[in-house]
Amino acid sequence: MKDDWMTPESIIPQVENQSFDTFDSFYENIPYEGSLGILALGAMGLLAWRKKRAEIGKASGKDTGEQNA
Amino acid sequence: MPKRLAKKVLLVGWDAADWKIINPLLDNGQMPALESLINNGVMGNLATLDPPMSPMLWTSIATGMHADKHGIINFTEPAPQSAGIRPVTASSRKVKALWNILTQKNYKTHVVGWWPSHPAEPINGVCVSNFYQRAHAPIDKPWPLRPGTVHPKSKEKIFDKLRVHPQELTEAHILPFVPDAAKIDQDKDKRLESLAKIIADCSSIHSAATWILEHEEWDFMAVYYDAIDHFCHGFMNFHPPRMNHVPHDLFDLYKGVVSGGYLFHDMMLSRLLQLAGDDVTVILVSDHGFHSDHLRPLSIPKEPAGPAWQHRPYGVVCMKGQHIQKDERIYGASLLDIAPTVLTLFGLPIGNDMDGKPLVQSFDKPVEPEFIPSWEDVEGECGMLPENVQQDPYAEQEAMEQLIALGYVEKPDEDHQKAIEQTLNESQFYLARAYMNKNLYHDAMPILEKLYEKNYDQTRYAFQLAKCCQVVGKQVKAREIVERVIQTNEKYHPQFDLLLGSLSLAEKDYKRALGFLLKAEKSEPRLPVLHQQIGQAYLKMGKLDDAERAFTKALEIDPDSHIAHDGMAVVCLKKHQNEDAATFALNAIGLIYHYPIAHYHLGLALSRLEMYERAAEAFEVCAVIVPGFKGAHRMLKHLYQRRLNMSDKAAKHQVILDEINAKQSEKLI
Repeated sequence: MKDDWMTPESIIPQVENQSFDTFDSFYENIPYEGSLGILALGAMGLLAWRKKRAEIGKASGKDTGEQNA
Repeated sequence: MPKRLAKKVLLVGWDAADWKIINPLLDNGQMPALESLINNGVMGNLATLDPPMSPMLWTSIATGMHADKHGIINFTEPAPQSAGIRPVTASSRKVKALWNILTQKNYKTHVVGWWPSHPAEPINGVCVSNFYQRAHAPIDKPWPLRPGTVHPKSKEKIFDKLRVHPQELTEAHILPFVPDAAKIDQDKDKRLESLAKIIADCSSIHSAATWILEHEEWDFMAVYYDAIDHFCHGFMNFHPPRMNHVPHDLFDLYKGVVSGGYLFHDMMLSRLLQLAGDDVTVILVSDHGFHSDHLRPLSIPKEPAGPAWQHRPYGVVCMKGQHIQKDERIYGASLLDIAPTVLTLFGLPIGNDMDGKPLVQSFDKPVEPEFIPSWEDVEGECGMLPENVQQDPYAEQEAMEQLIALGYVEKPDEDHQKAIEQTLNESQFYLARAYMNKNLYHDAMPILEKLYEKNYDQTRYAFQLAKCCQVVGKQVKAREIVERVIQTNEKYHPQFDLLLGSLSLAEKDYKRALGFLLKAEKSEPRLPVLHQQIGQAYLKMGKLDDAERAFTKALEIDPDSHIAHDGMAVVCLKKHQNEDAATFALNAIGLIYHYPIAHYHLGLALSRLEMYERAAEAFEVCAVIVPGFKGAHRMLKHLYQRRLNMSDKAAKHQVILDEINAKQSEKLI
C-alpha cells in the first residue's frame, strides 16, 4: 500500500481555526483528484474539493462528474 | 442528583472494529488519533451479545437493553398492510434510546446513521437516518434524499449536498487501498466497485457528522460508521496471512484493504476529535469483532445472516474525557453498559430495567449512580416515532437490496405472505437466541419448539432447541432432536459429534462423550469449542492433566475463550493451585463479566487464599446474576458466619437457601 497517505499530517492541514488564510492555503493545494485525507476532513473537505474541482474543470473543460441532486 | 461528569459526550460507533487488527497498526504508529484516545483514556474489550446481528446490537448499545426488551430482533420486518418485508425501522424500537432520554431532558442531541434509525426521529437536534448514504443510481441520474431521512426537514437541502457518490471517487481514493487496481478486469471482478461504495457511504456519514459538529450546538452526538464491517466482510479473506484457498494474485491485490479501512477511520476520527474539542468525553465502540487470523471461517454457511459467522465475540471500547482515568485498561465491559455509562456521565439516573451497568471502573473517582424504575415511565416529549410509520417504498427497496447484497438476508420470496412468514421465523429465532443469551432458556423453549415443529429441515433451529433442552434438563428430547438431524443429513459434520459429545456430557456418560469429541477432533482439530468440551469431559473423569492439556489447546486456538479460562480455573482449583485458579477465573470474568460460574470459581480460589472479603464479593456477584445458585449462597453463609463475623448477612443467605429448597420441593411434588 502507498505510504504517503498514511501520514495524515502531510495531507490534512492542521486547521486550528477556520481562518481565511489557513483555508486559502489549504484550498490552493487541493488536487483535482482529491484524496482520502480531504474526504477525512468531512464536510469542509468535501465541499472545498468539489468547488476546486469545478473551477479546474471549468478552466480546462474537464467533466467534474458532479452529482445531480 | 448525581453530579454531571461530562460537559459533552461524543459516541462513535465503528461496526466490527477489533483490537486484533488495530493493535499491529497502533504498534506501527499508523493510528495516531486512536492512540491518543487510548493513552489519555481507558480501553478494553466490549463483549457482544448473541445473536451478533448488527441492528440488534447497535440498538442494545443505544438502549442498554437486550433485544427482547428493545424490540429490534431482525434485519427485516413485515411491511405494513402485508406488503412484503422491509428493513427494520426505528419505529419498531419499543423503548427509549439515549437520544430520546437526552431529548426529554432538553439536551441538544444529534444522531447520524445509527442502525436502525429510519425514519429520522424528531429529537432535540439533528437526526440523519441510516437510509441517508446509499447511492442507488449512476451519478448522472437523480439521487433524491428520501422522505424521512433527515430531521428537521429544514436541513434536508444541506445534508443532501453532503453525500458522496461512489462515481465521484477517483484513483486517489482507491489506490491507497488497492495499489495495483489498474491490473483488475473490472468486468469480471466487481470488488473495486464494492470498495468505492463503501468509501463513499462512510464519507457521506462523516460529512454529515462533521457538518453538525461545525455548525450546531451540541451536548451529545452519536455517529455510526458501518464501513469497517463492510471492508471486512468483503476483503478479510485477503487480509494477511494468506488463507490456503485464496489465490496468490487476489491476495496480492487486496491484502491491504482491511488495514487501509482502519487507517481511513483513524483519519476521520482525528477530524471528529479536532472538531469536538478538548473538553469532550469521547466513547468509541464496536458491536463485535471480526476474525482476522486462523479463526476466519473457511466458508460461510448458506443461511440467513451467514456472514455473522465471521464475527468475533469481542468488540472495542475506548473512552477519554474529564473524570476518566488515563492509560488504563477496563475489564468485563459489555455493549449493554454503554447507555448506562452515558447517562451516568450526564448525571442522569439509570433505569432499573436496563440490563447493563455503568462502567464505573473507568472513572478517576468513586461514582454512585442513581436509579429509577424505568425511563419508559418518565413522561414528556422524547422524539420517538409512532409504531408502523408509513415509509417511502423506494427507500425500503434500496435498503433491502443492500442487505441482500451483504448476505445478511436472503432474497425474499416473491410471494409476500411467504416472505413475511420467513422473516417472522427468523425474528423469532433471533429472539429465542436473545433469551438464551440471558439464560432465560424457559422463555426460549416454546419459541424454538414452535419453529422446529414447522421447519424440521432447519438444522439451526434444531441445534438451538437441543441446546435449550439440554440446559433445562430434557436430555432425552435433546438427544432425539440431534439424532433426527443426523439421520436426515447426508453429509457428515464434525458439529454432529460435538453435539453428541455435549449431550453425553450432560447425561454424565463421560467416556461416551469423549469418544464423540475425539472423533470430531480428528475431522476438525481447530474448533476451540471442541477442546473446551474435551477438557470438561476429562475434568469430570478426574483426569486433570488431560483436562489441562485440552483447555490449554483451546486457549492456543483462541486466547479469548472465557470458557477455557474458567476450565483452567477449575483444573487449578482441583490441583490446589489457588493463585493460578484466581488468575484464570479473573481472566474469564475480564472477558465476560456476566459469567456467573467464573465468579463462583474466583470466590472459591479467594476463600482458599484467605481473602475472605473479596471472596464474598465474588460470590455475591454470582448470586446476583443467578439468584437460584445454591452453591453461592452456601459459601456466602459460611463466609459471613465463620470468617467475616457478619451473622446478619449469614442469616439472610440461609433464608434464601431455605426458599430455594422449598421451591425445588414444590416442583417435585
